[in-house]
Amino acid sequence: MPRPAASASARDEDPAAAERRLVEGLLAGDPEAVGEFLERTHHAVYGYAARLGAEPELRRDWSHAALIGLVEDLRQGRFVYRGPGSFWAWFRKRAYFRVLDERRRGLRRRAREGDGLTDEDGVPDLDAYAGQGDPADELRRVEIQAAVEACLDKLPSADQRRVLWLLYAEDRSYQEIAELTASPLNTVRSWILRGRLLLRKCLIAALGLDAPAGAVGD
Amino acid sequence: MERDHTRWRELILCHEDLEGPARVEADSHLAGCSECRALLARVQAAERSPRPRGMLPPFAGEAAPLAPGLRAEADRSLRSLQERLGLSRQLLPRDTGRARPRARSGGAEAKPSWRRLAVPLALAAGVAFVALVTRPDREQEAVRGLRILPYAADRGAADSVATSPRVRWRTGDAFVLAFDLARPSHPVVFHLGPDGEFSLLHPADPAAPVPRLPAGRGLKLPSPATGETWILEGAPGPEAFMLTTADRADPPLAEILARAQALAAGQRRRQRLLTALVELLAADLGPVQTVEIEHVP
Repeated sequence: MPRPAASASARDEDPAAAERRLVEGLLAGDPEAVGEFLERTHHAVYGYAARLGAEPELRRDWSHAALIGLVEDLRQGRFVYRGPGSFWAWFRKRAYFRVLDERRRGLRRRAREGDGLTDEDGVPDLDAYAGQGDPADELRRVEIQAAVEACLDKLPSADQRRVLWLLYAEDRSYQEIAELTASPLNTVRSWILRGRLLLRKCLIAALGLDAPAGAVGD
Repeated sequence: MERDHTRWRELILCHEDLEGPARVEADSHLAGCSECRALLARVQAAERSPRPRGMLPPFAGEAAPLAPGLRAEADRSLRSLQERLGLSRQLLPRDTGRARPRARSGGAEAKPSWRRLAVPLALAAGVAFVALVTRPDREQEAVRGLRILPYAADRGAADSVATSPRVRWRTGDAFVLAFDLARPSHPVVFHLGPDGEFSLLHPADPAAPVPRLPAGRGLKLPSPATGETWILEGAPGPEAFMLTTADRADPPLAEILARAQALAAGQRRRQRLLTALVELLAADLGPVQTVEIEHVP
C-alpha cells in the first residue's frame, strides 16, 4: 500500500520554518496542517504503541486516540512555541504520555468488561518505559498526570484552567501568570484560589486521596 | 465535629492562597489535626508528583524506522485514521450534542425535530471534531468541511447561523449542519447517540426521496429557508453526526440503516464503532464527514 508523501512545502522548506508553519497551522486548526502532522507522526506513535501491546487493534486504538488527543492539546493551548525544535521536543514527551495514558484507560476498560487482562498482560517490551526504573512508577506518574489534567479540564472557568495550567504545567509564578494573561495580580490570585480548591476536590476523588492508602509518592 | 471538619477541609485545601486571619486560622487547625495535615500533604504530593520521564525516541519529523510487517500494519492504521479524519478535516473543540428524539420511548430512536426556534440561544465556546472519509477510488472529496452551527432566531433568519462553533452544547440548543459539496448530490445525515443508538436524520423517512443539492460552499441542513432546525436533547454525552452523499434520490437507506444499527448494537467501543460505521457508509453511499460534539447538562 503506498504511503502518503509529505507535502511539497514540507520537503523544500528549512526545517525550522517548516516546524513553525506546521505549529501555526495546527494551532489554527488548519486541516492541511492536521493532515501533514498525522503523516509525519503516525508511524512514530504507532511504533511506540507496538512496543506496549501485541494486538494490532489495540495499537491502532491507542495511536489514534493519542494523535487525536495531541491535536486537541494544541487547541487547548497546552503548547507554547519557544523556538526551533521546541514543537518536536514537546511532541515526543506529550505523545509518550498520551500513548501510555490511552493504554492505561484501555486496559481498565477491558478489565471492567471482564476480558481478564491486567496491566502486565501484553507488554512485550518493558524498556518501552524509556528505561526509567520501575515501569510501575512510570505508570503511576502517568495516572497522576492524567488525573490532574482531567480535573483541570473539568474546571468551569476557562480563566481558572489557563492560570492553573501555567502554574502546574509550566511552573510559572503568580506575577508571570499575571503578565502572560494580561490580568491584575489580584484577579489571578482569585482565579487560582477558586480553581485550586475545585481541582483539589476533584483530585481527592479521582485518586482516592481521602484514605491513607491513597497516599501518593514518587 | 463532622461539620467543623468539613469547614476546615475547604479552608485547608486553599491553604497556600490564604492570607491574614484566615491563614492563621488554617495554620492553627493544621497544627492540631493530623488527619487534615495528612490529606493536604497527599494532595500537594499529587500536584507536585513528577511527570512521566520518558519520551518517544528521537524524531526528526520523518518516517520512523519500522520492521516491514509492522510498517504494513502502521500504513493500514494511518489510512484508517485518515479515512476517519480526512484531508479536509477541521478540528474544533470537542462538543457534545444530541439531536432531539422524535419519540422519547426508551430512548431507542433519535430523530431530528424540525421546528422553528422560538427563543434565542446563548453561545459558548465549543470544540467539534470533523472527519472526512474518502473512498480509495475517489480522487475528489465530494463533501467537505462539515460543521455544526448554533441557530439563533433573535438574529434574523438570514444570518441566524453562527460562523463559529459552540464550545458547550446544552439540552434545547438548536443547530444546523453546514458543509460544502464538490458536485450536485443527495446528502444523507446519520446520527450516533451517546448510548450507541444509530439513526437517520435526513431524510427523516428512509423511504422518502433524498433531495438533491447543488454544488456549493456553506450549504446547510435543514435549509435556513425553511426556518427549521434540529434540537439537542436527551442525556449528555458524546454524539456524532455523519454526513454522506448518494448519487441518486432513492438509495437503499432502510437496508443501510438496518445494517448500521446491527453494527452499533454489537460494538460497545465508540471509537471502533465510529470507524466501522464510516467504512460501512462510505462503501454503500459515498465519502463521509463526521462531526462529534459533547453535550453537557
